[in-house]
This record gives sequence, structure tokens and C-alpha cells, in this order.
Amino acid sequence: MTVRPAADAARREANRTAASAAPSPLPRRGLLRTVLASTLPPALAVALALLAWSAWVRLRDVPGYLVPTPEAVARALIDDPWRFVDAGRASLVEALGGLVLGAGGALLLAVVMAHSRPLERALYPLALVVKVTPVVAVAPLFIIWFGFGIWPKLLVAALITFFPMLVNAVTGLRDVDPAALDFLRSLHASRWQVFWRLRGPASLPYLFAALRISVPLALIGAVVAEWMSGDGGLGQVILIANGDFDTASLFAAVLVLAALAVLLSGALALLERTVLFWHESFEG
Amino acid sequence: MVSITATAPALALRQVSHWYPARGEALRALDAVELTVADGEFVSLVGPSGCGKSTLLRAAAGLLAPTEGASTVFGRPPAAAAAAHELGLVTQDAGLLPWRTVAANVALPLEIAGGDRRRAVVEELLDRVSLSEFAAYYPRQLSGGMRQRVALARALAHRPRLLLMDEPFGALDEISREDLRLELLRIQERERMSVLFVTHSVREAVLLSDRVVVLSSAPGRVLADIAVDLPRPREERLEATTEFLDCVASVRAALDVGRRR
Ligand SMILES: Nc1ncnc2c1ncn2[C@@H]1O[C@H](COP(=O)(O)OP(=O)(O)O)[C@@H](O)[C@H]1O
Ligand SMILES: [Mg+2]
Repeated sequence: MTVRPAADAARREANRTAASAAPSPLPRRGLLRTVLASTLPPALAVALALLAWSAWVRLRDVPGYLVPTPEAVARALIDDPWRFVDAGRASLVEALGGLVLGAGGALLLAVVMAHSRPLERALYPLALVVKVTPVVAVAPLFIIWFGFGIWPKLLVAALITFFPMLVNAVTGLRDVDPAALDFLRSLHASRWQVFWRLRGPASLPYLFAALRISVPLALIGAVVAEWMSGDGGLGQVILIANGDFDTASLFAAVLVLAALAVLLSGALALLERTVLFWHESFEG
Repeated sequence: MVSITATAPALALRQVSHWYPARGEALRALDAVELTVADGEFVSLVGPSGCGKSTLLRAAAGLLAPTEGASTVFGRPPAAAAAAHELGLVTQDAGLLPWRTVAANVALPLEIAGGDRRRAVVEELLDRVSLSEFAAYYPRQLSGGMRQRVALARALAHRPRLLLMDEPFGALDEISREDLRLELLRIQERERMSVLFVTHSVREAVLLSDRVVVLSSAPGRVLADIAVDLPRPREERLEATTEFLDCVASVRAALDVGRRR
């Protein structure tokens, strides 16, 4: 064994100390700071919007059946809170169920499509048909086919979350580092091994991007289906309020829907931060 | 069968030609290449950029099926060698998995090849490339040179008999490059695995190799096969000797002939 020249050893030492100064395992920001940083600005914006809304309705003397004041909306919420809690819960369950169905189905199909170009070409037009089918056109059909109850709502929510997840998942499963793929192939790794060790993890950023789009869409899908069948959920609240010219309740229902969307998106963002800590989008 | 593998060269390319599909006529990347790497031999491949070095290496690794001719690794098709976990691959892009720590990246081949997965094995590999302290780091926390070290440790993890390296230090600064060059030299001289090493640095090729193969500009043909008769173990200061410089000069001359055509 030969002795390494001194200059070389010194250089290596310098490299090492420079690198050791870096924080050891990946730095993760505190949870509280993350939550505050992501909730405070939007909360301020909402407060300002409420103020402006209230002032506008009062100053212009807009009639309450056209646009209620924020105070009237708050009163509608406080007068019968359980109506909104129950409706919100029903919509949430349907949206999440639909999301699991739609996004889950899309994911399975994406795995198949990502592994075979012919299958991708064969199935993509069908996926497009699903995409362009107007929800308002098929929701009544779903009600006729499956009756009232949870199924038509699940299906509508699933239908509109399907396509974004499919497209993103196929892209994500394909978008792997070619050098990493070559290395695995040089080891004769099976498709299964390549899937779990490379394609799956590599697709996660794409899956989260799709979920960010799909979560609000699922809520809209559930509410639209409820609105059409008129049995439970925020959609029903909106339908009834509409018939009664009870604009305050209508706004309250929309508000609850928005709150649900914000809550789900926030939970999703937290999950994303935890799962994708290694991704460059979370560079400190 | 066993006796064949024992005597067969680590790598043999026989009349390998390759055409890439292109608009109009197909693009010819390799032209009847003959190349042999004996067991335990370190062979470098130099040639102008775009002359087909990566294509040749991919054909050797079984990542690409050449249009004509065939390559064998220890007497078998590359796919069989890959299945027997005899191939180690290092490319210019490290190709590390960003969601895995350095240690977990190095352990990847052990998971696939079902080798000895004890922590001590990974620690020993990291020690060999001077990265012991960085086992818990993630790739994005490392410099380019450190990532290539990880890639080298990973390629050695399953104890491959043939190491295929495609400009592994090409994207590095000169200092990291020299460090890694010497580390590779130490490792190869100790373990005596066979290596096919693509580089565009003539000095690097001469310092590391038993033979330097020079390819012509596209389509790649073997222009010269130059033996490097310098004593081993080799050291950095060898680069100042006349023998070394003579060798560099003859490789350069062969490259110039290729360029003039
Ligand atoms: N996948 C590919 N499809 C089409 N042409 C390619 C492909 N890969 C390489 N080539 C072409 O083949 C030639 C040789 O490429 P390559 O083997 O990468 O050369 P080198 O590694 O020596 O720079 C180049 O002209 C390149 O443009
Ligand atoms: Mg190349």
C-alpha cells in the first residue's frame, strides 16, 4: 500500500471539515412555526375580506336576500350549528370516499399505463372521455342508477378526481432518474423491485400535486351530487336555502365548504412536508 | 460451463455496430468495435465526444442491444452477468435515490442481490470511499464529489467482478476528481476487479489503466489499443515521469489521427 501525498491528505481534511459544518440529518422546521406561517397570512386576508364585504353591503344598502351581511351569515351558523356540522360531516365523508375511489382507481390504472406504452395509448382516450364528461350531466344518471344514498355522491366525487391523479401518476411513475434506473437494471432488478424502490417514491411529488387539485374537486363533486339528489350534506342545505331565499344559510353552507377545503388542504400540506422531506421543493 | 467462465475475458465485444433510429437515415454510433477486457484488467476508453463511448458501455452492460455483433461478460450475455450480480455501474450522474440516506443508497444492491446486509458491510464500503461520517446524510446535502463517492461505494457493494464506469468523474471539479481517481486506483489495485473506464482525460486514462483504447469520431471505431507498461501500485507522482508522458503522447497522437479523418 502506498502513502498518499501529504498535500492530498490535507486537501481531503479540508473538504471533510467544510462538509461536517453542515447540519447532520436533514433539518426540519418546527411544526408550530410551519402551521403559523401557513395559517396567519390567509387568516388575515379572510378577515380583511369580511370587513370589506360587511362595509360594502351596509354602505350600498344591498337587500339581505341578495347578499347577506357577514353578521347574518354568522347568525345562521350559530342559530342551528348542528345542521351545518351534520351536513359538513356528510359532505366530507362523501368527498374523502370519492377521493379514495377516484384517486385510488387512477393510481392503479396509472401503474398499468406507466409500464406499457400500448396500454397507455389504448386507455388514454377512455380516460379523456371520463375527463370531459360534465358532472352535471351524469350526476342525475348516477342517482337514477344507484338511487339516493351515498353511492352517487361517491361516484361523482371519484369521477372528477380521477383524471388529475391519472395524468400526474403516469408522469410521475415515468419520470425517474435515468441514471438510477440504469443502475437498477445493471443489477437485473425486477419490475417489482424497480417499482417499490424507484418509480413509486419518485412519483410521490406528482401524487401530492394531483391531490392538491383533487381534494377541493372531490368536495365540489360531493356537494353537486347532494344538490341534485337533495338528501343530506351541504348540497342539500344549499338547495333548500335557495328555495327559501335564505341567502344567509346558503352563504353559511358555502363558508363551511370552504373551511373544509382549507382544512383538508392544510392537512395534506403537512403530510406532504413529512413524506417529501427529501424533495428539493422543501429546501430550507 | 464453470471452466468457461473461469477462463473467459471479463468483457468481450465482437464486431459490435450500433445504429440509432433517426429522421431520414439511421445514425451510426459504433462501427464493428472489437474490444476485450481481461480478468482483473483496467481498460480505459477515450475518444472525441459523441463517438459512441456511452453506447459501447451500455452495450457492455446489457442496457442496450447492439444492432450487430454481441458482447459477453465472463463468457455470458450481459443480462446473465447482471442477473448473477457481476456488474457494477457508475455513470456521470450519480443516480442516487434522494429519499434514501447515504448508507441506504449503498445498501441498495445488497437488497436486490440478496447479499450480506449487515451494517458493518455498509460501514466498510463507506470507509473505503472516506464517507463514514456521512452515512446519515441525504444526497442533496452532499457535494458532487461526495455523491460520486457514494455511487462508487454503491457500485462495489455487491462485489461485482466487472466495473463499468462512464465518465464517473466528468462533472467534478479538478480537486475532487484527483481525489476520486486515486481512491479508485487504490480500490482496484487491492481488489483487482476488471474495469472498463470511459473518460475524456488522457492523463486520467493513462494513470489508471493497463490499456487505453482510442475510438475514432462517430461512428466509433477502435483506432488504437495502447498498453500502459507503468509499474503498480501507481502513484500521483508517476505523472511527472517520462514513461508516463510518452504514454500520454502516444494516446494523444492516436486521438489526433482520429480527429483528422
Ligand atoms: N438514445 C439515443 N438516440 C439517438 N441517438 C443517440 C442516442 N444516444 C446517443 N446517440 C447518438 O449516438 C452518438 C454516440 O453517442 P454516445 O454513445 O453518447 O457518445 P459519447 O458517450 O462518446 O459522447 C452521438 O451522435 C449521439 O448523438
Ligand atoms: Mg457519453
